Amino acid sequence: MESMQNNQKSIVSIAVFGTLWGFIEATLGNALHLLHLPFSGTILTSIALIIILIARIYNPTRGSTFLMAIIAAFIKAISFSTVKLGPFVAIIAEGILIEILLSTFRTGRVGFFTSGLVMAAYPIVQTVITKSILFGSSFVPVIIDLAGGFSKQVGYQAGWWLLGIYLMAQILLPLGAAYLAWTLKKRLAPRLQR
Amino acid sequence: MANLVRSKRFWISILLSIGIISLKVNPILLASIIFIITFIFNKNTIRPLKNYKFWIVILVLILIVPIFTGNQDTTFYGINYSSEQLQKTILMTLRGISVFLLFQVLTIDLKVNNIKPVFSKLGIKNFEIIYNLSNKIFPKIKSILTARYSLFKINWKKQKSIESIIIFLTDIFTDFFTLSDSILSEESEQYSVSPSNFINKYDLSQKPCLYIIVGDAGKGKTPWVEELIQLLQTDGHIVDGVISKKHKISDDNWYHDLIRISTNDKRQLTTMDKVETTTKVGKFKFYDDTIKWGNEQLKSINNSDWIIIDEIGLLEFDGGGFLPGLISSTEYSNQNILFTIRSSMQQYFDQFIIRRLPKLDQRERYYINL
Repeated sequence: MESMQNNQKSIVSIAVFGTLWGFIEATLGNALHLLHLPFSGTILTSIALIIILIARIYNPTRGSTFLMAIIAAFIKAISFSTVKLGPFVAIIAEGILIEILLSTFRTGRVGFFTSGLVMAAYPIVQTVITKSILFGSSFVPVIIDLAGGFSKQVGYQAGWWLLGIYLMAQILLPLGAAYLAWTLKKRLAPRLQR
Repeated sequence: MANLVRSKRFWISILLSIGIISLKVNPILLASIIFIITFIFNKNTIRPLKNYKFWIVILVLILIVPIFTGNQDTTFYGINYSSEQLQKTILMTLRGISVFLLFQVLTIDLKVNNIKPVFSKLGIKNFEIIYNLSNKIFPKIKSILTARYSLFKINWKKQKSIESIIIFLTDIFTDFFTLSDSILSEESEQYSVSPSNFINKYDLSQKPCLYIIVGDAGKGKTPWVEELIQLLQTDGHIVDGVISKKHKISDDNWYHDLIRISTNDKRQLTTMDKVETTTKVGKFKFYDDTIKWGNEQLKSINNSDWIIIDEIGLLEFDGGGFLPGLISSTEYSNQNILFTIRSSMQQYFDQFIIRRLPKLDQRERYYINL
């Protein structure tokens, strides 16, 4: 009977937390997009990470994060008049990545912070891939050349510093989110044990 | 009409792809043609180009990269830049816009309803159930977040600290755990266990289990099982076993057929008429040769994912009926097993398993009351 309950609990929790993730993506995501704020993708990824990690503690079933991502992607997709394939694929890719990590490392400290690290790298990798598809394979070498050329002309390694600051900002937010999720996990422990 | 639109999109996509591949031949001309074709196809395709974010990378590529990279061989208003790099980045930019427009053509009319069936067809378990549940709870989620955010704004005015944010998030997640728990209990109550609910509720791919469908006479155990068999077979499961189907001759005269699930072979199992038999339960007399036939059928079961026996009763509890066939087919089986029993027999069922089918006692056991 316990297994049936677990299955049902899993379905409900995927629906609840997947909808929460999708709701945040659709509302806050679209607001950030309209406000043209920088790092909006990283901000959303960080919030999604907190939801995913806490949901996984509540429902540690394998595959639940992937299913949550599908639900979130659909809600995000509904928020536009037509499906924007970019955000749709990005959310599902996030779900797959975290699913693999949490299935491997589970919901301990290692699982949380590895997820944070991967989510930190994810927007960078995503940018590299999408920009390379759009502008061609020479996009990354051109940007690296630019950092080098800028450093050479301005001095103080300025180009590398700018690139570093951009990358650090991308990395720090999801890592901070993982830390926040870890703090929340401890706070929520009594509620979860009930 | 839909096919015509689809084929139009297809051919335009091919045309744009060819244009992108051969962009180097005459970048500005080809990119302009791509832009015009895309615009004629659907003017909404170019709308995202109005977003300033799209142009940031392009401005960096065209205005900044030639100044800081390559051989600075040309001057424009006193600013040195690399003409080779400028040509390269203009080509990159035109390619970027063209590829973006190609993606727009491919996805501009994509609707959720076009994608949803893909996930259902992929066989993602419980997708439809979760999706429908998600739609149902969406307003609740919205109201929880709205209410919590209103409280947070009040608290934030009093105390601006990280602790306030952590409390805010802790409260939100606590609310969502509570919401999940309440939906879970609601769902448990409202799920009358239909065969499709049964399939969705249980993880049928896990280790083989023993399912016992419990219901009074006339409650519909056999139709329930028949529906389940159909659903399982549709899902690609191989189902075998026997069902006993009741037929009415008149208001006070009934009989049962015993049907082998996999072959649909059947024999009359019971009668209310006067016949010579050694086996009688209540008003029903059992045909001994059908019981013998049923046992042979059960003994011959192999290579099935499910064994279903409808129904286990007093005869089997007393060591007769289909028990020999049951022992033979289920004792060393690795399939899911489903029995139907009457409600009055449920209290003796665990004892029956321990005494008569001890190998099945190791299995997880689920009772489903109809």
